[in-house]
Amino acid sequence: MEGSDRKMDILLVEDNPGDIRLTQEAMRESGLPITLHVVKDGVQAIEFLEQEGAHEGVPRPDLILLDLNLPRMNGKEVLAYVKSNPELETIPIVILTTSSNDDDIRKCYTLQANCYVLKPIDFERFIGLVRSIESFWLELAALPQAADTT
Amino acid sequence: MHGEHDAMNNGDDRVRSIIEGIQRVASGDFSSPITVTGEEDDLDAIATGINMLTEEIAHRDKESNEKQEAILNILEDVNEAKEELEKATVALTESEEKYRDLVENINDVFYATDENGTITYISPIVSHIMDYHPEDIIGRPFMEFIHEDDLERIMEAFTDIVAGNLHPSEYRVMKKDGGYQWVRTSSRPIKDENGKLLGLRGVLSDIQEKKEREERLEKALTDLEKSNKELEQFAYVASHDLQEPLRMVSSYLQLLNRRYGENLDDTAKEFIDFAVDGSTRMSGLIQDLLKFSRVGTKGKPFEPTEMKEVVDTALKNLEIAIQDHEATVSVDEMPVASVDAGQMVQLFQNLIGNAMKFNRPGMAPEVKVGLGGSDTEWEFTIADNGIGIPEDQLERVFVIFQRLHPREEYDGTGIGLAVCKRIVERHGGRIWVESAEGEGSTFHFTIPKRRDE
Repeated sequence: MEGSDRKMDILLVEDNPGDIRLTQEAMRESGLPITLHVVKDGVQAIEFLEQEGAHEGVPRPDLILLDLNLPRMNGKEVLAYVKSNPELETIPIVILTTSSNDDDIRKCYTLQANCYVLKPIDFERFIGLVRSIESFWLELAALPQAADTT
Repeated sequence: MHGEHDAMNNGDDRVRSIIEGIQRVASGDFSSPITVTGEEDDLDAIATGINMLTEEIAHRDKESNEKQEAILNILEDVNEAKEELEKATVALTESEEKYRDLVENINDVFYATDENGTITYISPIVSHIMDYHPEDIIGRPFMEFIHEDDLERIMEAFTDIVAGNLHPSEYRVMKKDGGYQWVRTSSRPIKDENGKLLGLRGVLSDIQEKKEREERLEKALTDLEKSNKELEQFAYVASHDLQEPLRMVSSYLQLLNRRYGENLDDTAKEFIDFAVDGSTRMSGLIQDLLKFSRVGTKGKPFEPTEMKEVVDTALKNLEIAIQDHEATVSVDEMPVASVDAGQMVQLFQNLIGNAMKFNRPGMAPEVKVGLGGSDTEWEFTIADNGIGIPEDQLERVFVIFQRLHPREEYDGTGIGLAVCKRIVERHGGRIWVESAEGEGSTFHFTIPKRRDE
């Protein structure tokens, strides 16, 4: 575990500016050494993860926060892509959405989502949620090291 | 001389006696033969001869009588037989009339084909269905009249019927004007003693109206499914897209309070609280609306279910509420019923939850889950000792978003009982409540029994 020694990178895939800002604010309040990278649709998410185009040289994220309702390529497609890609599949993905639809939940776990979380309406709870996600996935959970691609 | 004279007189008497004897016989009296004197003369010979003839005649007369009697007996028998025959004829006529009535009033068409499927007979009533007269049809292959979309299916069905698997077929036949008409046929193969197929015989009936009804029903069902899908789509939109802006409103108001609270006075903070409270409640309403719509769209098929387990699950889900209210819940013996188990859990949970929630201050809730019913349905009851419901509100409690109490006293969106009603109605049952204000309420709902229960 080297969690607290280095800055953690989180990729947020979210198209709603209000939600992006809210997540940024919540992370700021949590005080953990985190860099939050934001992309606004599924296609950009894949480009980021493959470090293509405008995303050349970006770090491999330690955690992905993924919304489901996204333009161009939806969250489930991104999820399926990542979890079927040997270089990316070990990155934990937390689905962060407002959809309480049972089919969505089931489908996401089938596609190997690591966790499915509903966005709470209450900001206090949202902060608590973001804090829980960070502390669990970045501090408590032991994860495999990224495959050495250098 | 005297003797001669005597003989003379004697002779006259004997002749008279003979004449009288003949007269008796002539009158049909054969019982007294003519006296024979024993003088062995001609008169005696005549008397003896007549007596013999008389005997013969008597014998023949007797025989003749017997024969006549026999003939009379036969005649009597014949008469009786004739009467019976008449009666039978009347009965036959009656039954023939009935039969004719039946055949004339029946709209079914009888038909026969040969082994190649060529029509060899079809009843005249066919003209009512296909506009064709029998002579237009007889001699033509049956298959010629079947709608091409149905042809393959019917060929298969006919093969099946020839093989001995008898079942009716429904398909369209072509009418004289080229239009089509739905019919149903029930056919039976006719075979000779060696099992060789000779042809088919069957009954054809008009099912146009039935089919049209079915098609209307099917269309209504398709429409319903479509509208259900749209509703589900709407529900999804409601759960996702309507939630987003609400979350923005409430979250940023809270953030505002958090970051700039120091610069706001108490009134401003109070306003923010009301706005946050409002959006939180609206979010709750949206979630409830979603639950309500999902009763219909997300229901599972009905399966035989241990209702005891259903109630136990509901009680387990309510464990904390039961502890908080210090409630006691008793449960009668529960049956196996054909239900959607998940929805039943929700139903019991809502009703038992309500029973505890609307308690009288300072009085621990007592909830009784009971069972009654009839041959055709189960009746479940959930009785409490709570505040009860005013009589004029008994119907209103099942209407969506209707609340009977101020939020400060009893919280809730007013969805619970509306969902209950929808669940019960989806199961083909009824739900109602009986209540005495200040004494408690008893909710009743029924679930139809299936034939195998």
